[in-house]
Amino acid sequence: MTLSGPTSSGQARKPILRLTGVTKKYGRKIAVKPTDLTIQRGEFFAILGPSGCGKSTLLRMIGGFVKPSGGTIEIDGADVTALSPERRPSNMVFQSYGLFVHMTVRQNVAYGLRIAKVAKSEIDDRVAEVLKLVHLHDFADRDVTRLSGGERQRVALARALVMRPKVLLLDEPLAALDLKLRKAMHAELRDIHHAIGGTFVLVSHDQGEVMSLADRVAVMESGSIVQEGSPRQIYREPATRFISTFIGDANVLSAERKGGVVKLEAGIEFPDEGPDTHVNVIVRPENILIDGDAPMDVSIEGELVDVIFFGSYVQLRFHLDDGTDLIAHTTDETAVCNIEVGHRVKLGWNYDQQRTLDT
Amino acid sequence: MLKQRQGWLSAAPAIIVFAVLFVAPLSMFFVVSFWQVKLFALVPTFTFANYAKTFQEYSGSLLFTLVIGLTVGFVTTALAFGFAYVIRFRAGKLGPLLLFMALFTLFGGYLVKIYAWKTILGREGILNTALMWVGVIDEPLTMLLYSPFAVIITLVHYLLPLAILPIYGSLIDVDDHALEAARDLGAKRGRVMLGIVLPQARFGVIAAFAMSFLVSAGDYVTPRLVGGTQTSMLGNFIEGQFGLRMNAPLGSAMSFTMLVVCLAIIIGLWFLSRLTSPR
Ligand SMILES: Nc1ncnc2c1ncn2[C@@H]1O[C@H](COP(=O)(O)OP(=O)(O)OP(=O)(O)O)[C@@H](O)[C@H]1O
Ligand SMILES: [Mg+2]
Repeated sequence: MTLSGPTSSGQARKPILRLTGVTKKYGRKIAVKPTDLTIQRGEFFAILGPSGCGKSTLLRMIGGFVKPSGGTIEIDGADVTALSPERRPSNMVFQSYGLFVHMTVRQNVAYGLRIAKVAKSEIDDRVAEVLKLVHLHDFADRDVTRLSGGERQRVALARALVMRPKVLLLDEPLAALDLKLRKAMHAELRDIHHAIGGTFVLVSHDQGEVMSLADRVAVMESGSIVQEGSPRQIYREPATRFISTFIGDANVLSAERKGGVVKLEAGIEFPDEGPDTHVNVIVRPENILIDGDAPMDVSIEGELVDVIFFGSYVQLRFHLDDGTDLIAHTTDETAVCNIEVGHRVKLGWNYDQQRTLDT
Repeated sequence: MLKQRQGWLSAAPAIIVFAVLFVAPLSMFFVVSFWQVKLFALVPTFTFANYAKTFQEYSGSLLFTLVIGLTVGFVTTALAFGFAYVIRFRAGKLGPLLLFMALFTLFGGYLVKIYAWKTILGREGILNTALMWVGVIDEPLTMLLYSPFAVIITLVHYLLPLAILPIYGSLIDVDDHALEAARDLGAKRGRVMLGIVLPQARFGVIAAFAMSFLVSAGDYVTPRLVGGTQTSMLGNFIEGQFGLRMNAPLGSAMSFTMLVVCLAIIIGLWFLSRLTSPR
């Protein structure tokens, strides 16, 4: 390896993956705008974004399947930008799995090790170990064509994991599974990451998946990363209106700021320093207080228009006087019992639960 | 029980067609191959004389025919695989157009292709004229036309589009991501081709090979038109037995020998191909 004499402090914090100005153009269309990204060793990192935002393209550039139009990609300190996939210390789990349909489960998983000319006994051990890890040890000698979707998914995972890649790339690996299986796989993926460590980079358009798996998230929108942080950070402090609605639910209230005072269209005012401009005030539904006696910084009246029971919480939709809707989530069912559809209710929230975003 | 009966019943038309078109004539030839000819009339007997004669007089010709057939088979299949691979994996949107163009050449028909090669390879043909004009040669090359080479090139050209089809058909199902996954796991291009693409295209490749081998080995028109006097294949002799010489029993024996040898070769290759795939 190219451990070209790093200083001791530099080595400890040396990122496993570093992208500098990586970009991809298809003709005149820019799929990925110049992107910088640093991922630390051992992280479970997720790239989250809507369909077509360029997240697969970004991941495929890391894996070596798409040649960047510009920028450099370093894995563990070595520049891999010009290397083809077989020469990169990364492995990929494909959305459609890409299994070798003419081979058994064991042959699929052993493929990479056989090419690397690993000794037969070691191949056997490592394949057995990883099949156990993904709970496929009973299926080792089955043809992969005779597996269910979930089992195929595990083969794809095992086939990449057995290589012990420096970076494991996962491109929507669970997208083809049904909700229940997907949830089960979330738990399993977390367990696997705990068990073997390593650096995982997951691409997904499913915010729930990302929230439940990743240590750190980059949100992508039309070809660029618009925010990076822990799932909690991004949920609590979304950088843009788009992120606030893409990750979790949010009430987006239109407002004007003038001379340090923000005035909502619904008629509320509060002080907020910043340039005079149009702003959006973001409030999460679970932070809306309903008909409470508790003191609220912002208070407003609305008419209840509908109630949806979601099991662990109830969603209430209110109509404000200016015509906008306000969504509230509550786990307190007694609060709901007291109001009926059509009633006017006092609503509100506290300043520390709101977020004011320019533009 | 009932299910089974229905199965037979629904397969009956196919079985009848197969019996009428293939089994009946073949059995007929098989029987005739043990007969004899006396004074231009068929005499039903039971003699191995025809087979003996086949081996004594025509084994050289049989061997030569097999060599031509195998050569055409290998060359055609290799080229067809290359074409089909490019059409499927490399040509992108142009793929269907390429496939169509390859098939389009079939519209010209078999004889047109043969005559085309005659004008290309002949003494005053395009190739000789061009070579002389460039100055590579002073005298026209006579070995181009009327040679085994001309037979092979003509047959390959004719069979290529037909051989592309089954291979392309089997490549359609190969998952692009599987190829990417193989690269990702460390396989170089060649290794992906041998270990991932080829095993999945096995049926198509064998079908293409069997088709081009059998068609070439059984051909007698091409050798007559571009092969010259030195390049007679077994088909030409068989044709002679059934035609001018009016010796159907010997012709049948030669046909049957050919058929069995060809079958053996195809079966042998089938097992060989199973050995080379992972299991
Ligand atoms: N080979 C290509 N040629 C031209 N354009 C492409 C190509 N591959 C991707 N694109 C375009 O680049 C953009 C980003 O594609 P990409 O596959 O990265 O999206 P994505 O974020 O993974 O979306 P999804 O969630 O639907 O998979 C898309 O607009 C897509 O149309
Ligand atoms: Mg994608």
